Amino acid sequence: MDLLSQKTPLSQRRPFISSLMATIALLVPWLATSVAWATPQAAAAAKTAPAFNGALWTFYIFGALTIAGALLTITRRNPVTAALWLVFTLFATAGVYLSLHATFMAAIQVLVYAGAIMVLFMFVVMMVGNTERQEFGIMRGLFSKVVALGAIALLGWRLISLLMRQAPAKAAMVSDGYGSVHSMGGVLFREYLFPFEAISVLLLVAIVGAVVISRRSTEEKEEV
Amino acid sequence: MLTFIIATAIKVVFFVVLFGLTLSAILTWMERRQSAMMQDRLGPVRANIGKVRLWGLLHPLADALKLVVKEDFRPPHAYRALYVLAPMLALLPALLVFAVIPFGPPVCIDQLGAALADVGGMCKPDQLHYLQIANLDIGLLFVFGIASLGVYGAVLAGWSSNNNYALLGGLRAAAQMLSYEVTMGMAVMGIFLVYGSLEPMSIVEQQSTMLDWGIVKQPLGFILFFFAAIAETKRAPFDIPEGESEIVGYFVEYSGTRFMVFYLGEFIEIVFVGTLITTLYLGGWQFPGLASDGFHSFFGFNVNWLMPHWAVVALQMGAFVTKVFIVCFFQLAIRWTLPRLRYDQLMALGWKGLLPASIFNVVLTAAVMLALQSVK
Amino acid sequence: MLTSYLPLLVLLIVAVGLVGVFTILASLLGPSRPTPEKDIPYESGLDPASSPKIHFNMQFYRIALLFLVFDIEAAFFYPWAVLYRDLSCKGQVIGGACHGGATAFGILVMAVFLTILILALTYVWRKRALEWD
Repeated sequence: MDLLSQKTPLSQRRPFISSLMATIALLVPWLATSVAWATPQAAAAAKTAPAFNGALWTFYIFGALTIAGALLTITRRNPVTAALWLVFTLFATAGVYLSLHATFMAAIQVLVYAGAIMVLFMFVVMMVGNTERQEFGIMRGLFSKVVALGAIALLGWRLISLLMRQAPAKAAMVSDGYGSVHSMGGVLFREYLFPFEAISVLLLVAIVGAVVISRRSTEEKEEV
Repeated sequence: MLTFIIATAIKVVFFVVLFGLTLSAILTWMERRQSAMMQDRLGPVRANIGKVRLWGLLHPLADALKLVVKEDFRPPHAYRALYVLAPMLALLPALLVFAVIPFGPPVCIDQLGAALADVGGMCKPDQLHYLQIANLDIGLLFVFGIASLGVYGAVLAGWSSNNNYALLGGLRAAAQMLSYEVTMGMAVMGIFLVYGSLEPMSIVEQQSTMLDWGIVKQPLGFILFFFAAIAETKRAPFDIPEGESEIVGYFVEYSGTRFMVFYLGEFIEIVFVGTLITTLYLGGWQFPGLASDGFHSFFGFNVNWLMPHWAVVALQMGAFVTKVFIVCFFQLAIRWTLPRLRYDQLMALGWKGLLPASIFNVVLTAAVMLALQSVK
Repeated sequence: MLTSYLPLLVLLIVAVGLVGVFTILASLLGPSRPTPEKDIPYESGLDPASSPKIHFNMQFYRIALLFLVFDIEAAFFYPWAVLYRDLSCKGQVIGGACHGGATAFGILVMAVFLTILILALTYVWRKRALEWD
């Protein structure tokens, strides 16, 4: 048969669109039925929602930024750009911590996650140099497709059940020093003393593992 | 709310733009002039408008104009978006870290003419303003977190230039910055131990006499932190990444305004290191002997000169600026005094020299504090 | 207390604005005269002799990993340092002075943590993972 007369299937010509369409086609009946079932309860629950205040605004804005950053991360073709969007996402997560009054955690998130872990990512991505545009093909294999659909279904279920939940009668008031370095430290070195010491062992294991993994293949193998 | 935004905007304009940017622009000229004076030659003194030379202070303006009208070079096959982003990521952290630096004491607006003994107590809450852009409880953690973003500027600039040597230079710069960030964190731990707070305003307020200054209580920590900060900002003698005459740096494919952004970022970091060292180790805005209502001891002499609030604030801000200027002068002088370190010497110094020394400093400080506490 | 973070937003807007002005200025001002010579990657003026990819240098990866672990360690040091006076005091610390006796709890807590981390640093040092960079 003449090869030119064969049309390549849509899944190879437009992989992203076709996988998106397949996901929507499979999930729409499920989403439609669960939304129809949940709507009256969600409407009743929405009446108990708290009034908008500063912390809520902060949470929504940073939460939206986190989601946007995460979506942008997974859809970039260039791995360095994807890593940069991940840095942005981690910053937005730090903002979410801020909205929950966890100021120490926000600082540590920026310091450790966005400042150290992502730098490690960047080093590897830049040196490996695999910057050809990645093919965003339909995921190979039935197993990965099933897992992905299951993950999306789970996420949808959580979202819907969240919308149906009633807000608590009184918002929890946090004390003035909540989430600050003083209170975190006070808890860390008193109630959680043993996990704190165990973390040092974990860090030691991490360092030994790093040295072992990155050893030169021939010379240092005998020494370890 | 509106007064709050206006007050913040004024603070931002004064502290970041007027102080930070102007001082760093002056420093770009001062570096060359100071190096010339140290090397017994003239240096750049001839930039003029008409006949007005101003001893060469117009040079930063001339530099800026020259760089701005250069061609916007576009390296082909380079990732344009990241190429444009890299200088932004180098300059942005340098500007943001000024948020927690205290430039002066708390100011009470409606009591400016009076001599206040206790500013916080005698002031109405909405009239009390901190001369600090943001009074965060995690103060210096914010500084270290934002400073660790400077790595991205360097490494992205190297990678997006589509030049192998630039990439290697960027990776080297990033590895150097990472190594000295660890040391900076550990070196300043002694200050946190002694003053018990992460908040710069609180640290400065505890340095009211010269014997309480950080440099007296933490001499080893001061030296370690100073060197680590100079290495972190990639200043000589740790400036292999920019190298100039030796080795290709990570901004080799940048020219014109984008290069000016990198250059400006480096000098803003010099100013910032100056402010940080002043705040932590040199007493910040404290003028020795000057309390909030006037002089009670002037260089050893017991006096009782009461001064109005505005004069005290002005003097203390002046003290701060002077101290920052002196530290910047030293940073510039070190460049022309010490030879450049080779890269492996640099990394060895960071991991095998300064890091163990700063850990030792922390242990020593903790032990001394425990001993002093059990003696009391 | 969260409102004390609002000035950061103002500073962020000003800083991003300033940086944005510089970036836009870069594209607007200045001539545009592309020549083929300008397109060659800079290699000290010589013709390009290197291949497009660099060799993966493991040392950078090691340094980044070590930095990560020590950064996490420093993250645990910060609350300890701030709370040291409280942890070394058997009673309450009021106004910076300890009411009660001194106790070695504060320094012992960190001594254990620090010993293991010094062990890690010594291991890295001895295994020559800090060499040549």
